[in-house]
Amino acid sequence: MIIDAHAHFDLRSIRSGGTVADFERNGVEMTVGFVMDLISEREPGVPEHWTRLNKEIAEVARVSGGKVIPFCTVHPEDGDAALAEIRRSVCEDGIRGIKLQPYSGLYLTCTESLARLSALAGELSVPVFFHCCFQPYVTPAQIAFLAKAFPGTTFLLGHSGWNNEWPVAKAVARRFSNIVLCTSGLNFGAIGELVRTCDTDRIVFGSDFPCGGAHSEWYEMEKIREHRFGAEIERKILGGNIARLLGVGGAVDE
Amino acid sequence: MSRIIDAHVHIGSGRRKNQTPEQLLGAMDALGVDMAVICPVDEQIAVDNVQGNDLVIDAVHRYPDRLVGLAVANPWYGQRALAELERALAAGLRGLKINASLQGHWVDDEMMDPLIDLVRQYNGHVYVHSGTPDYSMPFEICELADRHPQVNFIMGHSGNIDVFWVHALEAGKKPRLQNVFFDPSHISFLDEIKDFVENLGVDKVIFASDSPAGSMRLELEKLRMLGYGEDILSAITGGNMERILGLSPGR
Repeated sequence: MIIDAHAHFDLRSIRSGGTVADFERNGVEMTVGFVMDLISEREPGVPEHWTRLNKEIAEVARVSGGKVIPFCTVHPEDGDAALAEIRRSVCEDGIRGIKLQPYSGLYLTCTESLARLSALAGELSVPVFFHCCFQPYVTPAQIAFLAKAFPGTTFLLGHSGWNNEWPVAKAVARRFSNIVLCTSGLNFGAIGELVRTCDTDRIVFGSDFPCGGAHSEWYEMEKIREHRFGAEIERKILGGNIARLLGVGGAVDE
Repeated sequence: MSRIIDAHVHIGSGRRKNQTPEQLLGAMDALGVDMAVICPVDEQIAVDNVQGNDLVIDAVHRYPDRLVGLAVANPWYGQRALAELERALAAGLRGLKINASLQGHWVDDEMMDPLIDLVRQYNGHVYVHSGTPDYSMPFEICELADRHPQVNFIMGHSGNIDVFWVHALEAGKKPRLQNVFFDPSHISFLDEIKDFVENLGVDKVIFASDSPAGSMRLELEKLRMLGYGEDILSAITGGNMERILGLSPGR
């Protein structure tokens, strides 16, 4: 089963049927879904904003017939309200993970707020997916501090540091077994080196769909397939690993 | 129909990139790529410039109809860099490859100027890695290009080593520098490539793969998926580069 570990949705697009058709055309059967509106993470202090967005992504998952695996998002500096919203989303709406974009929200990963959020994610057994690249606030080394402090929480590195910081993502993934690397945006050679040198149970395919249009998801998949890693590794990266991590598609995380 | 020319490929044996000229030619043959512009790899870009340039000189002498070479010269070597660049250009290389983040300087540092001026004297072009803060960013590359209007610059990856293709696009517009061209290698959001074509002009976008860090097949295929007609596609995949290299148009 091919599962895209990094995609964005809103209700309008999912109701049109176009987005589901796009990823099905690429052979993707399920996809992790984040809200589209991450830019507005700039504004803490309006926790109800996140509740509205999180209810929307939960509804996206329902409308998709279970093909979209919903992740919630919050502004961690909303403190107790952010934690309450995560707990509500997971317990009431079937949210399966937390998506954070610190460079949009302009918050650090080394704060007490992020520590409490990471602890809660571990308690609820949901992973934290960070947008992770060169930008301030979201480098692999910054996220690694959380991974070290919270070994019971899984941290997904979206873009794995992108094409500047991926060697650091590689280094921290080799140190911390609770770090999972996502391939979206990485160049072909970087993907090859990560697969050769890191635990292939902790590398997942992601596209950042629908950014760049439907062909972008094809391009992201082909960068993996072009390597001809072999059927077992390809199966894990293209869906098996994220299925196991999230307990979807019949997979169980042992 | 224009040749298909890959404007940026590495040969040599480095920490991360490994490719022989023969492996490269095999890939080109399989994909119908007529020519490639080659440069050294990794540590040979950073420090072992002479070793890297010798490999490239040897390759272009052995395959003169298929390979064009760019030299490397770390500007921190000062006069030695200038002498090495002159040696490589005199031996038949066609310009300079800059990776300021590997070489450890700001891309628009004034110590680059003598090297660029030497490239101008040899009627060559410059290929510049872009998208790695702080050293090698689009606006700074355009500043360097603006100081050297007689030299053509190709902005490698159009800032997309991270999310800086927006910088590249805006830097290309304001002011619209006639001597800066954009390579869309590694751009994952394929619609962004259309933004370059439609905002900067079809004559400004140039196919390059960054092989072996990029897949030549995928970088070529993604351009074909943009939905452009043969005229536009042909300009991007080779026509524009033919002009930069001073080749007569067509196969």
